[in-house]
Amino acid sequence: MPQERRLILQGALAHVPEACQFVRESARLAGLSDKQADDCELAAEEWCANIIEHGYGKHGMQGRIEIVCQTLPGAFRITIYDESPPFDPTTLPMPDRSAPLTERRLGGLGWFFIQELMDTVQYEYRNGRNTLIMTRHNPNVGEQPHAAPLLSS
Amino acid sequence: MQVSVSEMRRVMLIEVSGRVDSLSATKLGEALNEQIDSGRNRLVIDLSNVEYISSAGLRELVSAAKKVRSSGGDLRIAGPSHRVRDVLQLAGLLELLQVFPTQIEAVSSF
Repeated sequence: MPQERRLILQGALAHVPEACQFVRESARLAGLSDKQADDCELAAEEWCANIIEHGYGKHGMQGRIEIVCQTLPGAFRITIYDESPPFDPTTLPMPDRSAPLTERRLGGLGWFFIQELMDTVQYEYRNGRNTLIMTRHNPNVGEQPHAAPLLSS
Repeated sequence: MQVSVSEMRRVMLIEVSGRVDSLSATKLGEALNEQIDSGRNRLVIDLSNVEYISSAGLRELVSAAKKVRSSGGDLRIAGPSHRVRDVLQLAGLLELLQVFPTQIEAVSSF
């Protein structure tokens, strides 16, 4: 049974720092390094901002974001759920990082960051919710004496 | 996030501190646009006290850099931490924006 922490918040930019802090803290409790926790925090922010701006915002909707952090044997998993219309990020074009400044697109970096920062990323539309599952591997995870207890909030 | 603006050797020095995330990035963009709209196109962004930056913050830097370069100026970065530098690298911006260890070096480069 994985150790699990859960956070549910309104899908608004004002709550992004709370989401970041939650994911970072969960990653450290799970036994990830500082650098790995940094990466998880950034990946989580990028996806939450995407949900808020393009999922809920673009459709004039308000809704919740649910974040579940799980400590598995050798891995830390972040699952983020939202109720905005289905949006499959795997269809997004990759930004051209070799383009000169004048031709640089201002968007598209967030999804690229997520894929670069996490070891595995999986998107599903499940039970009426967009579901993004991101995993970071570390052999120390799940074996730390200070690993997070089972929490639910 | 805090932004303070001063002038040094006819270069606008924009010192940023705290987190530049999707919540606060707009405020950075507004500060940069205020300078650009006033005709100031030589900008140094001191990021030495920025602990975190996401793609939202990078968008504001790229947008401002495009504007100042189109009028013959430039936007240069000073003092990014390892973490911020890693994010600039990931975005491929270290090849596009000039980055200096200190604000003095960045200002003097103009």
